[in-house]
Amino acid sequence: MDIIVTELTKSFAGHIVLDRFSAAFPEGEITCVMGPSGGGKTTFLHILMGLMSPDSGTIKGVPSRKSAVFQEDRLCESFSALTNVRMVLDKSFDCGEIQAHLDEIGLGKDRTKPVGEYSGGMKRRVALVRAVLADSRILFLDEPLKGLDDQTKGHVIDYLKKHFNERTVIMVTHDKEEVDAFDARLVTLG
Amino acid sequence: MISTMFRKSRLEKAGAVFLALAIWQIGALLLDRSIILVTPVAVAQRLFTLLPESDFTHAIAFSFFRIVGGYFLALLVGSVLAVGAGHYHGLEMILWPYIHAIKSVPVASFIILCLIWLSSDSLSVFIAFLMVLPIVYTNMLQGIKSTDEKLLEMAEVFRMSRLRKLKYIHLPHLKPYLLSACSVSIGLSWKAGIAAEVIGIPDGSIGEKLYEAKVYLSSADLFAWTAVIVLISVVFEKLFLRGLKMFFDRLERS
Repeated sequence: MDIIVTELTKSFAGHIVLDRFSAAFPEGEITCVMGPSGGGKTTFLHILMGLMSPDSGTIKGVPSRKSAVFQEDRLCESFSALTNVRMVLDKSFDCGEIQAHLDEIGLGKDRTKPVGEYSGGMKRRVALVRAVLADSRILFLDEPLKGLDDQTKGHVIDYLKKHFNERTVIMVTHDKEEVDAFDARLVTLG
Repeated sequence: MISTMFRKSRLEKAGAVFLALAIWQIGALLLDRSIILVTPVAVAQRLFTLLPESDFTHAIAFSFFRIVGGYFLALLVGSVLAVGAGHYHGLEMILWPYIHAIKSVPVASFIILCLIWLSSDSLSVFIAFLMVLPIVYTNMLQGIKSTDEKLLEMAEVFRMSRLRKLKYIHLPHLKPYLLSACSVSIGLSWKAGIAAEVIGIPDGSIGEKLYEAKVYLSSADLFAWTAVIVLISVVFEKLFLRGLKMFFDRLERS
């Protein structure tokens, strides 16, 4: 089912962040949302995720099974990468598969270290594996490649394209090259 | 490097204790009046004569179970109230005058009041409970209020269960608050509990022994029982805090 957003409006303390924004996000496709800084991209994602209510407007078709990479990594810093991923998965989920994903994204040898000891780029990759492996029909990615060097970025783009598995993806980015790299549709905000 | 520094610090502390004991011994010898100040050697000798007495272990057990019981009760009640107050502002406001009254009313007033309400046997349980409750409640409430909202949002998006939120978000965040509350309040529970026993004089308690030491002007007994209280309090604190830290370490490794 496609996600249909109609006339979405949101303001904070009188400052309008989203002004009657309308768009469609086809099921199973990758859509990038671009726009100027402070243009309401993160607010829009938060409204879609159900973390915030709009002042007005309607949203239809958002699946209940969601996963996300937030602008900040939002990891439990005293736990290992393995535990951070496992905590959002079903108990019966195969631990070997988590390890395989962490290996694939280049975190294999550090997977049992607390993520508080990780670099920014490593934390980002843990957040990505967590979102990819979670049982979801839609992925919300807020600047998912932030803090990654060019070489790692290429590797992570390949990893994500391989594991999106025909899920709907809505991704906030500032970089037009990322839109092209994911062969994504583009929606402009603000 | 760290272990060498740790060993050096322990050696320094041991040296400071030895120096304090030496000053005490010299001071007591110079004063030469055992009623006012007994020597540490005499205290140690008195302690060794107390050890085989059946009263000795009975008094320790009597006071230990009551004070520690009050302590654990306060830990439980304080945590439950803090969780409630952290979620419902109304409850926090209702509890506010009680918690502040307990914090500011002198412990002696509570002891005398409790002697009117309760038997002297259960006095130390209640006093230890009262002294520890506001510390645990305040620390835990502060911890609960400062829980990272962003992690809770993440948990909501990923539909994490309450149990998982407790295990992975709330408990690790509350760790320093709980450890600090426990560390500060253990010594206090012993001080207040024993003070209550000295005033209430329940039969067979450490407080009764201290009271008898005062009546018979036996400084050696007073110092010997004080040493016992300090020792039990410190050993209990070390063991309990170590157990708590082990629990959190296991949680983080799970």
